[in-house]
Amino acid sequence: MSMLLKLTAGGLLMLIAGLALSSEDATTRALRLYERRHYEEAEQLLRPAMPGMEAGQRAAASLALGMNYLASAELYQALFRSALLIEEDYLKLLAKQRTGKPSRYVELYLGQVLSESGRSGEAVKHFRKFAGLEGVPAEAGSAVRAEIAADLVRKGQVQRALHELAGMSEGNDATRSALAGVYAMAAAKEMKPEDIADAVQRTLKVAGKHPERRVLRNLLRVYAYSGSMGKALDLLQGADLGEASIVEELGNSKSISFYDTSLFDDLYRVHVAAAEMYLKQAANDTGLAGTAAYYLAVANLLQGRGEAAQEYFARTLESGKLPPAIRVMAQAGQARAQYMAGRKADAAAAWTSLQAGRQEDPVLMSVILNACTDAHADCGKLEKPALVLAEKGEGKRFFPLYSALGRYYLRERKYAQAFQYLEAGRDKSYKNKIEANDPLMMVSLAEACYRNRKFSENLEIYFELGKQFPVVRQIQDAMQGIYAMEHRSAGEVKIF
Amino acid sequence: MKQGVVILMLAAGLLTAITAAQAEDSRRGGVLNYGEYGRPATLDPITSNEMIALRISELLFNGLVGINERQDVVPELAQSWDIAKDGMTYTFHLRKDVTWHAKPGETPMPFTASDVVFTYNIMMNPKTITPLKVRYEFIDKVEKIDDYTVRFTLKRPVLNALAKFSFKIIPKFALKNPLYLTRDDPFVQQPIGTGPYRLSKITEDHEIVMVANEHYFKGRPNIDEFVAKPFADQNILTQALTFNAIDMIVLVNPRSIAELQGDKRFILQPYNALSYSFFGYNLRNPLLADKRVRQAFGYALNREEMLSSFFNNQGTIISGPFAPGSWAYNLDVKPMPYDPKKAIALLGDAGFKRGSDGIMQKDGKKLQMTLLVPIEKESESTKRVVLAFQNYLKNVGVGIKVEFKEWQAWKEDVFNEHHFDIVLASWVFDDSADISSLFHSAEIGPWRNNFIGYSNPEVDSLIVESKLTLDYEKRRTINRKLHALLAEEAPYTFLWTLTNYSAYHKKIHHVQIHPYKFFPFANEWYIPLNQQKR
Repeated sequence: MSMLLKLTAGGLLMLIAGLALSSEDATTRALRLYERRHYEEAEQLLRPAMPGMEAGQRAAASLALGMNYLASAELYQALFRSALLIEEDYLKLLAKQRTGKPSRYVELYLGQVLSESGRSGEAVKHFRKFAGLEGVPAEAGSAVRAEIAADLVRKGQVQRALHELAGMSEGNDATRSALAGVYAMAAAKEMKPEDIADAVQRTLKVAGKHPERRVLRNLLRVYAYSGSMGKALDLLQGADLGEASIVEELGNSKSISFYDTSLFDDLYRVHVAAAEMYLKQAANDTGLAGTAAYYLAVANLLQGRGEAAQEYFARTLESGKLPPAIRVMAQAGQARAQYMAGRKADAAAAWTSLQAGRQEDPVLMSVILNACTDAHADCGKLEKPALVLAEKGEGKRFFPLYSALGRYYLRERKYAQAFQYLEAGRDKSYKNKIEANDPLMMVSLAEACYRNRKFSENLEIYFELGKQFPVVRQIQDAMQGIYAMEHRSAGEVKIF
Repeated sequence: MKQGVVILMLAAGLLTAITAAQAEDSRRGGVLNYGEYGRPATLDPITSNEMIALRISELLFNGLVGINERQDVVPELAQSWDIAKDGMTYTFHLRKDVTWHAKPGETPMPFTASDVVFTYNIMMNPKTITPLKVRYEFIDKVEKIDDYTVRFTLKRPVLNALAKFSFKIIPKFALKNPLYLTRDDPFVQQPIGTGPYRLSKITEDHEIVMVANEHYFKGRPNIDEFVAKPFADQNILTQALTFNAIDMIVLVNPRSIAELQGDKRFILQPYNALSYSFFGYNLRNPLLADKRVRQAFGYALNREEMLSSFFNNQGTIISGPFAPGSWAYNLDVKPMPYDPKKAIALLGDAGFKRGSDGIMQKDGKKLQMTLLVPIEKESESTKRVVLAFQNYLKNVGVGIKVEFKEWQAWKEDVFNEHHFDIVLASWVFDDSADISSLFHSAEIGPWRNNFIGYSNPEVDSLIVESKLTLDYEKRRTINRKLHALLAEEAPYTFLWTLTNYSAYHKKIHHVQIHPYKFFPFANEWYIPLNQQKR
């Protein structure tokens, strides 16, 4: 997550003022939605409007759409991390339960989460255990093979992955799409994953059906890894991202919903690639090139491409007269890109130098600390002046600094301080409303709540986020499961 | 040389001890005045059923076990316990250093196993007025093994049984009637506990003054006095805080959050009590016994607009009997939309037709109701909600007469006499989100929580199944079903969960707030010496 810079709609409109957008222009309206963090609505407004736009308007629309996708991508990436944490804890608790009819699918989904967290060894044990359970349907057996293959691809063992899938019957849509998903992850173009995905979509269309959640994830994976952003984005139109992948019925009064956590990762990939595509279009416009370069740099940071990010930040910094604050933001980001590219000492020196002389500016201090936090660098030297300023400060101007400190402490696993500062950075006038509080900050705050076992607070944050981003339903469901098992209370209720 | 080291170490030890004592002294003292939005009917933990009294109970009493801020069950009056492998018996080993509150000059009485047995028996006596019975029906018997050992035998194993032993213990010697407890017993107004604070007095202004328990078994609390000050209006509470008349508000009016957030003197601390507001319908009234009428009331209300206009959107519209922050909330059930046409159609289906005065009628009987609202809730926001309710229902042909009543009289009418048509109220739950006392038919009766008289065999059966199971996921599934069923049945119109913030002066340090009980950690709060005033 970058948390580097988000120009407000007002700020962006200033930058593109030369393009004479009217107040009711689709781009202007989309930017207002973007500013309110209604990313999906902004996309739905702007993307269909683009083909009818004149060339001059299209550049601004591309920039706005690119920013919008980038913000979504950052959010999905952050949500993916939170989902992995909460899903794993939930599934482990569930697997430990010894009362009632046991779940079988818990093994499959625990395996998936562990694989996505990079713990292949543990993951495969769960996959094998699931495959060996009595009564597991044949298509679930295929799903296991596909997951094992995906796990191998994640480890870079592409040939072994393809070997694992060899001879596997394509069977139904779920299996075909799962195979295609792994082929796409493995960049095995010869297996024509995109064609398989298209064929699955056609079959569904003829049958008048929407893809089930698991099929949706697989198709999305194919298009995301194949770079077919248009198809991926079309697929997401009208898709129910809150739907469970499987609901396991265990008698009349027990059902458990399971979700594919990797959907967040696939959504991230689609959105970051879409962001790059539109930002590159915007960069062709000389008037917008500097701004587009900044966001392209951030997009590269998100994807761990330090060298490319440095290049784009350099272009931003060379692009004429930047407002001083934006220059600092670009410099802080460039230092992060340097760190990522292995120039750690240069990065540390750059942050320290940027901080000097700006120790009374909470916003810039927050930008610098965030850049360091996100780089996973040692930020001890930056923390102290930030703390001194935070202790002196009051009011909304300091919210970004409190949040930056909170995020830093979260990374440092100092969870009590993380909660304290993130809470201080929340605009309490509109407690969990994303219009007032950046959803990225809210995801961090939700994690801090979880780490401090404030389960209901976590759930309330996701309840509000879920109104705009239905895919968080899977985090809510897992969190409810943990809360149900972990709370200790007497069952009291009072009137007031 | 060796001797020198020893002397140095002793000196260092002494210095540490002196420094610690000085630090303790610098924290000790001061008065914390906190603002409440009313005054409680009773102050004991058995007969009370309201949040104001619960908070006071936390200062005055202890349970056998407590629950810390990380959801761990921790020792309180019991220093340890043994649980049988089959989960059927719980044996508690009690602390031997606990005494009951005593007035200055009196010798404190020791707390023993007899008090535990006594409390349980009082609580479960059919003549005792308490909402607690339903929670402890799973206990078969309690035995005193010796003065400091007590054993509970359960009827069946239950989930989270240990946490349920957090109920507050009262002294055997203090009740006028040793068999059961009613609201006539002087104990309910002059309770004696083991907690960090003891009741000192109740002033003419109904302020409840509690002073530090010098003999508290966890050590004397830091702050000398806690004073609960009742306010009739939440807006005045905020003013009292900003004018330094009080140091803390337990629940900030949502409309005041922005104002307090901008004031450097105060800290706003969230605590996520699982609570919600509702309009509850007296199902003894034949007109309200028809589900379609209740549903119509729900469709007639624009709750989004009410929340936005009257509470600055500081909350969440809910769809059923659980708060959104609860593990039991059914995310598939969407809140009833604002649809006055559907409301009118439903009333039509129920046989109502508009009369010449615009009020719906059936068999010559007008659809007119009384809405009973406690006067302590007569804040500006509540008044607006009530007025809006009246107007929204008028639009669909329902006449609403609003009656404000003093809190105790309101409770008497609602809980005891069941003399109401509709009430506006709120429930607060602990983490269990246990709705059984609200909707199980066995909980209909005087001073019980099912005051609306709701009875549905399917709901009863699900509640029982939920209580009997030891399977967490099964319990979750059952609660989701209950949520869907009760949303459809609409015994309440479920309104919203409001944002819970406490506000307090920065001079108060080390403040930890329990999301439900609020004060369990108050013995560790302190006001530095230089900021104390009397």
